[in-house]
Amino acid sequence: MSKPSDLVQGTLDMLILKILALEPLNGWAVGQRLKQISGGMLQVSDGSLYPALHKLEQQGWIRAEWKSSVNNRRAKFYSLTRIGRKQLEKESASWNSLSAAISGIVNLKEA
Amino acid sequence: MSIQQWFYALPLRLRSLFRRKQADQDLKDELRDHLELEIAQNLSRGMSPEDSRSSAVRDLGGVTQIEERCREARGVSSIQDFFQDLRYGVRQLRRSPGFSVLAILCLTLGIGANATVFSWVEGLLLRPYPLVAHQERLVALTGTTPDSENPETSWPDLLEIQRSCTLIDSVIASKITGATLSIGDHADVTTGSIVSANYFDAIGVRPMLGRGFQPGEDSGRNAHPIAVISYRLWKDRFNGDPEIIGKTQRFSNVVFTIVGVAPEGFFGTFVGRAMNFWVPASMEEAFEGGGYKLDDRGARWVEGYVRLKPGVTRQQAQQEISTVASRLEAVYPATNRGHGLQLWPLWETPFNHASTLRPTLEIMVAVAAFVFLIACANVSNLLLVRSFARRQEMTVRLAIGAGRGRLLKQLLTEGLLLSTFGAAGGMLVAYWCRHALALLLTL
Repeated sequence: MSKPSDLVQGTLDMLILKILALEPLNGWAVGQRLKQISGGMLQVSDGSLYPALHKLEQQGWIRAEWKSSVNNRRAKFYSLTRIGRKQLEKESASWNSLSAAISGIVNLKEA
Repeated sequence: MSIQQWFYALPLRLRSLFRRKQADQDLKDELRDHLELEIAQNLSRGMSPEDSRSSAVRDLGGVTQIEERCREARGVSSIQDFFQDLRYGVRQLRRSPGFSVLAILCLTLGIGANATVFSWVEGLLLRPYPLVAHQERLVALTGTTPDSENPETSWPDLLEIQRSCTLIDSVIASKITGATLSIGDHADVTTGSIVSANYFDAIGVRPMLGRGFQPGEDSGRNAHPIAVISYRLWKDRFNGDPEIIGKTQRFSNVVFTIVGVAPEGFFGTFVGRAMNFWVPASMEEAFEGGGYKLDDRGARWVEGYVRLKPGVTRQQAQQEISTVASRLEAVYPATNRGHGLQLWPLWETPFNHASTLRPTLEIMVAVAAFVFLIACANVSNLLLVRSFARRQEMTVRLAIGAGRGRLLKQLLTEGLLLSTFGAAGGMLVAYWCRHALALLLTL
């Protein structure tokens, strides 16, 4: 039985896009936010977070900017691009239909 | 990727390709920021400074691996890797010169042998005639008889083909002959061709001095004692005389006026022999025994070529020519019964050395292929032996985090480097050997 924290392949990209759709964040904060929102269910290792961010940036879905953060230090902030927003809509839609289909099966009443 | 995506991605890729240091530094800064933020958070939760730090480092994992994976995500790492591998490959080759020289030599031999043989095949069978235009549309023309092998055809039949066939551009007669040439006190036999008047025009060769033959100069018994001479004859026997045009010269006791000098590098249209002079068919009697044959449909002496119209296959032209042949059989049963006409690809031309060279060349192609196989086997053995010697290096590389794919890429790059050197050497060998066949087969 797999642990619940194991992310479905490819879902991490969608989660990152969603989190960045709410507000621009730096890499560390994205990780924190993932843990918070999922109530600790989703443990994304920081090691896979950064390559994922860089990949999304290469795809043109998120954009990185060096900005000063709260304590006046330079930090790299990621934000969603226009095509990133479209991609998020597409992925959310397909996730919703997939998860609806799966829960439909899982919740079948046994005779 | 869509165009929109490239709009964002292209500047990034260019940046990581050309401003690699900056991009790498950014990545380091980003990860350092992460650690600092994590440590700060751990401290605020009441951890000791040491614990905060070690916990943060532990959570992040191997910084080098993350950096490598981010570089891969940037997508240009493969280009950088390639150049890195190339540099490393060159270093490797220089570190073991014995191995490198041996492997490159093997490949040079294998590739060189193949390139040489293929250049011979091209030169002798596919495009045998230097300077002749559109040789892919040139086919050889012969007569056929049911019983004997008589590869020639008659002059009147040739004219009939020229007149009747719609699928061909031109019919060229080119019959090898010889003549005694005496210049000053020096006489020797030289080789030349009896040709139709359209010869130079049809093969697209323009004499470098004077002119070729004009329409009509191939008719009338002994009516046009004119000749075009080869560049070599002009240089060797006439000392490159710039006033050569209009001078007379005896070919086999008939006085000819020299009207043209063929361009350098044109040797006529006969595989295995270089032609030194060309005379129009009207002068045939001076070189061939048996009287004047231009009006005799039964006298089969002409060797010829047919230039097909663009897009016409040899089979289509053959059909048309066969129709002409059967009509000639019906109209002139006395001379033509049982005689057909046949087109041949240049490499099967029955009246020159192409068809005799072909089996030899076929064997050479096979031998060269085997030489290449052996060379490859040798090189792979060498590489195998060396891979044992490099096992330790590979183990270390794997241990410090190189992926198997990455190692494979590096080895492939090294192989590519070897074969590039081998190919360059092979091309040189082929270039040096391109005329060597002439030495082997002096005819």
